[in-house]
Order: sequence, then C-alpha cells, then structure tokens
Amino acid sequence: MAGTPIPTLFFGGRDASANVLQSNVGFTDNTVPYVPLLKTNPVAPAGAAGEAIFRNVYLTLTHSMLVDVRVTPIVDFIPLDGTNGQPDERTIISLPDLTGTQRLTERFEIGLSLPFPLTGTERFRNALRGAWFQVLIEAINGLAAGDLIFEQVELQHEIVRESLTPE
Amino acid sequence: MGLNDRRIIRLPFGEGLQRSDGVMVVAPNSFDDLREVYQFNGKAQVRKGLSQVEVLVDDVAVDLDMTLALSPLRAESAALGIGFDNATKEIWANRLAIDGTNATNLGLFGTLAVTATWDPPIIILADTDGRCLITHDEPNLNSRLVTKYYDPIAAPALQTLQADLDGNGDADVYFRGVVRHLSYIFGWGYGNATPGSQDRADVVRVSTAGNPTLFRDDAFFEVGQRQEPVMVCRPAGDFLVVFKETESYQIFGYSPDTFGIKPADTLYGCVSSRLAVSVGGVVFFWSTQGPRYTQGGQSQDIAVPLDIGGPDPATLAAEADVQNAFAEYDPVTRVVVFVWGQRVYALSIRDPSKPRWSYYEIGETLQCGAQFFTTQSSAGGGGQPADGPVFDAITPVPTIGDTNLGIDWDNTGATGGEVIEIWKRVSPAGPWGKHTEVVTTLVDPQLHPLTGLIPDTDYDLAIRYRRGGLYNPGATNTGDPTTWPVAAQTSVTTLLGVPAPVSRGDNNGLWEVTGASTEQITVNWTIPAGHETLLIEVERAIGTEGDSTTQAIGGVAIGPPDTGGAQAFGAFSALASSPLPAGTTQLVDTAITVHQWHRYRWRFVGGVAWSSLLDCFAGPDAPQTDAWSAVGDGLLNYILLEWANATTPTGRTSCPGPTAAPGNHSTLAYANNMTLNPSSDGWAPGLTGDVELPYGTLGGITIIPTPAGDGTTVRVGLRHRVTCFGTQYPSYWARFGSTPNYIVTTAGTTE
Repeated sequence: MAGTPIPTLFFGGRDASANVLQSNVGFTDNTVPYVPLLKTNPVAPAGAAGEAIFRNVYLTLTHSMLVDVRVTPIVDFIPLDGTNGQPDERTIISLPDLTGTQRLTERFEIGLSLPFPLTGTERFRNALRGAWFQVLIEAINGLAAGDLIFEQVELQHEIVRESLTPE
Repeated sequence: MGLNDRRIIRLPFGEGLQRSDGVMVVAPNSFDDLREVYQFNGKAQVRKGLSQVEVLVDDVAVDLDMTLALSPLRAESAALGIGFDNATKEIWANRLAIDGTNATNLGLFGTLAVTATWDPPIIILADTDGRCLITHDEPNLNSRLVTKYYDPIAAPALQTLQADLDGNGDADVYFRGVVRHLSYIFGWGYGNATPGSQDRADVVRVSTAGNPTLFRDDAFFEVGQRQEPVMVCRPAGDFLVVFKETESYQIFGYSPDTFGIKPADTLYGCVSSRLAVSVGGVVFFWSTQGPRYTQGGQSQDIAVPLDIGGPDPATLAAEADVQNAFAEYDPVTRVVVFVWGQRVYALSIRDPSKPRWSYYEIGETLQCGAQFFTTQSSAGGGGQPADGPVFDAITPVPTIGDTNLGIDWDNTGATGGEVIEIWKRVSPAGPWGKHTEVVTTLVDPQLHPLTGLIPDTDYDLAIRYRRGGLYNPGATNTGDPTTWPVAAQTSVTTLLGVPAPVSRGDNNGLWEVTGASTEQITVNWTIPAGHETLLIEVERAIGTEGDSTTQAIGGVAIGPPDTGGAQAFGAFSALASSPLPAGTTQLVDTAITVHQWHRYRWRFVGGVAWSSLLDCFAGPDAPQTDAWSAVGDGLLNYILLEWANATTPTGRTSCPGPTAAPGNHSTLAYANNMTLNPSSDGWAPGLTGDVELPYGTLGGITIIPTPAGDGTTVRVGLRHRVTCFGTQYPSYWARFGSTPNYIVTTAGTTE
C-alpha cells in the first residue's frame, strides 16, 4: 500500500474483464494511450472584418516528460496541417526526459509563415495573414513518466486592416 | 493601436472549455476543444493514466467480465467490488484491499433476471458502521434483486436485508439505492412487503441511527408525486438532497424527531441514479439540461460552456447510455468527473468560484468509480495483531465429511476484535481463496465448521488474524498463504459420500416387462452435492423365497407361501456395466431372473461405504396384508381377510403388452390347513377350490370358508398375478398372521 495516496479514486471497467483501475497512475489508460489536445477559441486581432499578419506563436510549457508536442496554426478556421490542399505548417517540439531532476518551464518560439511553391519546390515564404487565428496543440507519439503543463500561448501579430467600428 | 505595430495577445491556459459563446464574444483564452488535461488558474496539466490493479473474480477465482460497483469499507480500511458475469448473469461481491488489490470473493449477490430493464445491472453501494449495503437499481420491482449487505464478521458474509416495514414481521427489502448521511442510511424506491405497497418509487426510508441495517416502518418520507421515482440522494452538508428526474427536495434535520422534507428545486433533478456526487457541502449532478450544482436549495447552472445541445467536437468518444453514466470526485486533481463510458466531462474545481471544463477520453469503458478511504485511527482497531492463530488439529472423524470439515485453532495472542480469515486451496496447485471469516472468541480451541468442500479432495488450509486492515506478522501476503507461519497451515482430505437411493415410494425398483421374453428392473439414486464428477460402481445379489415345493398354478410353476423364513441371497457381484459414468443416477438392469429377488448396492469408485440395500422383485408387487378375523357358527367358519392392493394393478410394474388390461390382473389366495396337514407341503389353492379373486383397487375383503370349524389352524398367503404378452407373472407372497404365519379360527359371531 506504500505509495498509494489516500484517498484515491478507483474505477471499474466493463470492456473485457472486471478491472479495478487506479486513477492518476502512469501515462496510459490500462495500456491504451491517450492524446492531450488543446484547441483555442478563435481570436481576431483586427476584428472580424479586419486582417492581420500572424508573426509568431510563443508556447510556454512546464515539463519533465519525454514527449513530442505538436503545434498546428489554424487561420480563418482552416488548419494548416497539410490536408485539403493546405500547407503543412505544423511544428513539433520534442521535450526531453527530465524525470529525476526537476520540472522545467520553457518558452518556445514558433514562427508563422506560408510557403510559396514553384513547380513543387518552396522558393520563399510569405507572411501568414488572415482575420481569425487559433492554435491546436497536441502531445503526440505517446506520453511518458513526468509532467506536462501547458502554461500559455502568446500570439504576435500586426494589424493590416482593422474592422470598421460599428456605428 | 496603429497599423504595422507588432502586438502580443496572451492566451493563458486555464479558462477551460467555452463552446457555447459566439466567436465575437468568446474569451480568446478559452478553448473550443480541450482533452486529457485538468485546469488550474492559468494552466492546464496533462492528466495521469489509469492502472489496472485487480480483476474481480467469482467463487472459483475465475475473472469476471465487468465491474459494476466499487465502495470503500472505511471501518475496515478495505473496499468492496461488485463484478458481473456476462454469460451467467451472476453478480458477485469481492472484498478488496484499500489499494484495490487482493480480490477475495465474498459470495453471490444475485443473478440478473432476463426480464431486467438494464443489462448490465446498475448496482449502488453505501458503507457505514463496518458494513456495506448492496442494492440493485432496477425499475421493475419483479426483476429487482433483494437488498443485501456485507458484514465482515457474519457468516455468510453477504446477508439479506430484512425489515418489518408493515407490521407483519420481517421481510426482504428491495431498495433501488442507498446513501449514507449523518449516522443513517437512506434507502429509496421501496414501500413495504404488503402487496400493492411494494413498488413505491417515491419513498425514501431512513435507518435507525448507527444501525444501517435496521429500518423501522414509520421512518420514511413520501417525496413529491407518487410513482415519480426518486433517482438518487446525496448529502449536501447538513442536508440530504433527494433528486427526482425533474425536481429535487431537501431533507433537513439530524434525527427522526427533527427530520423534515421540503422542495429544493422545482425545475431540476438528476437524470440517472449515479450522476450526482457530493463534494464537501456541494452536490454536482446532471440534470435534463446538463450539469448543475446545489448546496441543498436552488441549483446553479454550470452546463453552458459545454454547449451540450450543440455538435460534439470531432472524434470525441461517444457517450454511454445514461443509466451507465456516473459522477465521482478525484481528490488528487480536484476534478469532478461525469463519466459516460469512455467520454468524461471533467470539471476542475480547484478554484470553486470558477469551475472549468475539459474532456477526458478514457481508453477503457468505465462503469463505476469510488474513492477508497482509510481511517487511520480505526485502521488497526487496536493495532496490528501481535501474534497469529495456531491450528490445533483437524478434528477427527466424524467431523471430516465428504463436503464438510471441522477445524479448530488456538487464538494465540488474541486480545479481542480480531477477525480470523480461513483460506483454502485444493492441494497442491489450486488457487488460494478465502473460504470464510469469523470473529475470535478468545476461547481455545475455537471450533468452526467448513462446508461446501469437494469430496475425496486434498485441501491446504491457512488462517490468520485481521484487525482493520492489518494482519498478524508474517501473514500479509494474501496471494500466497504458504508464506504464512507454518503453525497457521495444515492439510486435510475430505471423504467420499454415498449415492442415496430414492425411496421405493418414488417408483424406485420398477420391474418392467418390455417384450414377450424380456424384463428389466430400474434402480434410481441421487448424487450428493460435490460428487458429480465421480464414477459409480454397482453390485447385485440374487435371492429366493425358499420355494422348495412348486405347484403349477395358472400354467406358471411357483412356490407356495413358505413359513416366513429369511430370504436367501447369493454373493454380490459387479454388474457388467459397472462402473457407471459420473453423474449417473439410474441403472436399468436387463439381465434379471424372473421370480427372483434382486438386491442392489452402489458407491463411488474409491469409496468405502456402500449405499443402503435396495431389494427388488422380478415380478409384480404382492398385496399388503392388513388384518384378519374369523367368524362362524361353530360349523361353518369363515376367515375374513383384509389387504391393500398395490396402488396400480401391478404395483411397481410396467406391463405394456396387449394383454395387460386390468382383467388380466388377479389376486390369488392360498391356504394350508395346518390342522389337517401339519406339514408345510399341504398347500392348496384355497380350501374349497381354486380361489382366484378379481383384482381390487384399494383393498379387498373376502371370506374363505374353513371346513374344520373353530380351532382350525390355517396359514393363508396372497399374491398378485399379471399376464403380459401371454405370460403370467406372479408376485411374491404376502402372508397373514403372526409368526409362524398361522391363523387359528375361533368361534365368532354368526354370519
């Protein structure tokens, strides 16, 4: 019983056998992995009818877990994930295993831009422009021992054209 | 703000889901989708996983298919789990250690009826005062299982809850659910045993203080409209909130004298029996419009951010049926979880003024949950036992039986309050399991019978003390009692039982004529419990009636009534078909000898004792002699005979041939005038000629004239005769008179 915090929440399963499952242990659900996912609500820095350049995303994490964190920008409600003809602008941040030492809080800068392809080859990049911006953050490729805490996202932008203020 | 200025928008992670507000007004630091994290003020932390620590088992240690309910056993620093067998529909109770391990089967709670509304069944538990009540939340009263409770020091450990709720004596109770509040247990959904009053879904009953299994007939509440069911009750501080589906009530007070009830919320109730959880003085519950919370009065909405009526986030796990959903509180993360199978609505309440939502998608479908507590002050109830019990000896025969056994031990070092756990396994490789537990008596030796064992089987036994959640030194390894102190272990072998013959009155020993020249005798016995897998050996001996002098009567050579000497049986010999397969309960013996007695006996292969003997005659049954008397006028005396015929013309006889009509059955009376023929060979068919009487249904009365007058010594015998397939089959003889079967005529009244 040593090491078991009291009180502890236990669950009973119903899939294959009469499992008794202790919560807050490990990083799978009885060997089944799960994927943390955070998708922010949309923000329009220049207003709904305005336009802005989205320069950078700064993601602040506190971590000790060996894990990959994937960041997907979503502009005007379209994820830039390589599907539906969109460019793949996802960024993966690989975090090291810091268990046994301490949790580390870090700020990761993720540049935002769009490729300009010519005959299938990226020639240069354009600024990422739009009205609405969201970010999708996922912890992929499996969790591990340790902690992963999402602290904050900061969006750096420039206003290109503001919405008109309603009368 | 001017153009071309680089600006920063800060989006701290901590606002939780906000899916209902429009994009023009929604807070940018809230989330459209948020999974597998719980919320603090300003950050979101990835949740930990779930680890399987145990699987619940049935009575033979086979894993069950589903965990239906869990509950702490606070007074025992242990826990209770209820498991379900999908195939047999059996619902088993298991005791668990406080860390969820060491599942020990406690017994069968019940078997789900095929007419039950919900499969899997919904089970609700409540522990208090060292016991744990187990209820079946089944809307259909006729399919609902009786309420039971686990009592660690009772035998059996699962007891049926009974109460006198209508003044007509104790009767079984069928609550739909139970909850502890103050020092009481509240149970709902049952009226009383009086027909018409049982199905009272609106009734909440309260136990006596401190005794969770004692309910009085006058301690109940009728909540709201009749027949609108109470869904669930949960304490909110000093109040007990009673939820119906679309309204809720508040039971206030602290004793039967002060208890009262009043409406709390006329619009919102709880949609399921387990979708409410108490956290401190607040109850979080799921209403018809989503989650809400209450402190006993009007409830408050917390559902809006989830946008329950809107589209779900893409790929989010589907919800389970509402009856299988439940709510619990995780004290480690301070999250209220509304669990709908694999989908969990997680409400972080670290900052109670700003609850925040997220989703969990659990890798395994969940059916129930519970917090396991330990009460450190009572965990020992006096601390760990300083010493362990010691076996005296296995009490010798006759307390070693085929399925039972008597054991005794010395309560070494016991101070009172220890529970003796008795474990057993089939030696040497069977799985260990706790057989039962009893409280120490502090009397040495302490005796206890074990039942339900397998015959002719080697058992290893082990015993230990338990006080609260603590065991005597050296006996903490529940998985392997062979590691316990040697003096607390012993072995014993159970005996073999004997198949018991069914009574002759049940048509046992049936003689049948199956054809013109074929007959058979059928013998039946029963297999005692636990012996179903054992082979059976059968022996037979042939006996006669001593018919040294034969006469041809009706074409069949049979002997006369003898003087009542003992039947002479030959030696027993095994039947050709012996041993019979395990579980056999009938022998059909076709190798029989007409007009002979057949004596059978049987036992399990390897056994010592034989069954009692069963004698069967290869022929119809004889009449049963009843009484006789002599009447006469001194010159012409008669003997008045009374007898009982067999209940059918041929008794335990089956004679299906075309000539087996009742007209072919008869009763033959023979007599021997001993006065004239003192030797035993003077038999004649009656004294005035052949006396062949029509078969009578129940008893016959006839008069045999005795020519010698008063003082004549006569012996009289009767037998039945049946004609089957053209052949006459006589019964054995029935005789009148006492030893040596004489009737002495005397002067009687004139006829």
